[in-house]
Amino acid sequence: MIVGNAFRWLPEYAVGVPEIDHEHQGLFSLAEKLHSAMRGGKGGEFVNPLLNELIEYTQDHFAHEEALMKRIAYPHHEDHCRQHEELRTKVREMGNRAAAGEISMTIEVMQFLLSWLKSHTTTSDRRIGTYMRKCGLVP
Amino acid sequence: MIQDLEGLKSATEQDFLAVGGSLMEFRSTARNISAEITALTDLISGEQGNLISRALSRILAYSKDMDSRAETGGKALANVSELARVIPNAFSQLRSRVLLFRTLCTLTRIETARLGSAGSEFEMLAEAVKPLSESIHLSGERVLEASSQLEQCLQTAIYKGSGLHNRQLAELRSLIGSVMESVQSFEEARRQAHEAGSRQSAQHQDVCAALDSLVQSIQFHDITRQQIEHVLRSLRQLLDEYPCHSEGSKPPAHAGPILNLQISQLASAESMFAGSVERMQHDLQEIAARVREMADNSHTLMGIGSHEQDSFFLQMERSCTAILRALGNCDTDSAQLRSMASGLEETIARMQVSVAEILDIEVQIQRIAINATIRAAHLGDSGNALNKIAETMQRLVFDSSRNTSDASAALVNMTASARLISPEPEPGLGTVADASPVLEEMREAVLELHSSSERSFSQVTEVACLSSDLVNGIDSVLTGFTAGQLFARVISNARTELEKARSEIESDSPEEVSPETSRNLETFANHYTMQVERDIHDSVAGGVALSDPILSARPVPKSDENALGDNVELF
Repeated sequence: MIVGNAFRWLPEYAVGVPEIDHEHQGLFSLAEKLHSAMRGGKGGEFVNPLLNELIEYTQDHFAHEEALMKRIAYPHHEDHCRQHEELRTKVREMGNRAAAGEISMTIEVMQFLLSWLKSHTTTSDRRIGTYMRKCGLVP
Repeated sequence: MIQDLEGLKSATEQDFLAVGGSLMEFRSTARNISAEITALTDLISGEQGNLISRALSRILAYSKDMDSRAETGGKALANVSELARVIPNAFSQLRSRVLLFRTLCTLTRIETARLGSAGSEFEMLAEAVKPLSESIHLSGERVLEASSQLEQCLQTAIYKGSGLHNRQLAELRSLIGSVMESVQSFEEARRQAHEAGSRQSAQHQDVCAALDSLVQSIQFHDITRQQIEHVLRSLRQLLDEYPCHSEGSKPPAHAGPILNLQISQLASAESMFAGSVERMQHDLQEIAARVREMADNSHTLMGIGSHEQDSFFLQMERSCTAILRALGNCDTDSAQLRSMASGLEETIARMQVSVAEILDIEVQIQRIAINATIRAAHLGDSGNALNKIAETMQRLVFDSSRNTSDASAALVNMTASARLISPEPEPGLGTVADASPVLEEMREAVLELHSSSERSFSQVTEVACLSSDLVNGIDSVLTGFTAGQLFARVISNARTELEKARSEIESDSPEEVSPETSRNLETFANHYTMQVERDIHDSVAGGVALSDPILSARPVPKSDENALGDNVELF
């Protein structure tokens, strides 16, 4: 199957903390799975478990990132946490709608995920890596 | 200078290898993009598109039928309500009639007692009518009670039913609006897909042509490398014949023209290399532009503007969600309406039983009253009073019976109207009495529509990703390509040095070369191709002197930049 770079984690996205990078790779993998399911026209079956995973992800991964930012005294900590809160709220809202039986929301979820990867994981999170490298906290 | 020229080959090779190495990847990506767009176009304008279009038309037909049934149901409910007013009216005088019956029975007994044995037969009239009138009273009470229940039931039903019907009508109107919007969007997308199909085929051909042209440009690069090789060989040979540091030695007579020839060769190589690099860069930019156009077309095809929220997919998804929600609400409303209509039908049926009982009793009283009239007539004048009582009873029961019949007819009409509150679908749109399977079928059609929308979305995403990868790849190749500048710099330096050396040689031995040889060499330089060189070499090797005919016999090569021409040697 053909997949472009949008669903591929690239080394340049690395923050430098293996646990965080591994979790980011997991998010790319989730987006790729949804993309594959949608190509087969089966995205609807995948949305509910995906949203459950995303809810879990926003709890665990964001907590790890927030703890890291605190530990390294990241200057944009507050702004980053605000972004996390927005993502958490959106994921919860979509999860509630899916749980209420709304089944035609695959495209919306996919667009949300693509935007998440583009504007948060590969942009805001990357800045944490740049900061850590600048401070000599990671090689 | 010779070292620089020697190093040029390896220095430029890396850049060309990078371009050549990416060619297969570019071609394969362009093919994948084209295949994705073809599949996408087919999904919209092909057989799959026809299925979606049919599904939408079916949903629209269902929705319109549901809308018309909801309207019929609303009218039926109003009709039941109107007819229900007949019942209390019909039985409004029931109590007074029963009282009258009782009074008539008492009068009959009094008159029978007065007449003694002659009126004994009338005891039966009093005895029979009394319980019957009681029965009418009881049945009438039941009907009135049921009528009161029906009225309450109707009040609730009308309140709820009107609400449900209004909501259902609103939902259905919005449903029809959504479906019609989807139909329009989809038909517009199909029209665009048809146009995009032919456009993308032309774009893919342009990409393939640019890739072929790119291959040719890379081949031209090989020609220049060979030219440099020839120049190097001549210069080395000249160096062997005329070492720079040997004192007192004079340069050979042909050194000047040879240097002239090499300068000319370097100029030709420089121009050819610059041309091929320019063409190659142009071809790469052309591929990137066409691929961007293909991606833009697929975006336009799916109605994705600068705002992602406006995309065709989100419109379709919103439309599907609205349709599914409306269908769910219609389903719930329909179930409630069906249950309410069934409750009404049960109440009406109970009333019909009681009314039938009343009618039956009224027939019995009428029969007894007629008999009593006949017997009173037999009694002559003494039976006048009883005759009056019997006639009054007949009139009373006739009036009562007429009202009961009106009530009965109203109940029959009410049953028919109650059945229309939640009517069956039109024949051909569903063969079932229950609306749920029809709604279920519509739901499946919407989900199928959504699934196609999902597939289209992922294909557009794929096209966007592949295009972006390809454009980035081309950008990276273009950025890393420095051979053009390096080649121009080294060749320019070499030419300057050779021109300087030629001037020195010409000042050392100005008269050594005859004007004819000079002219021949100049013509040779101007008309030089590798093939000519090979021919001359063969002529010289075969003992034929260098002369005009060899050169003039050969046609001057045309400077067709797109053809490889006589300079192609090794591939």
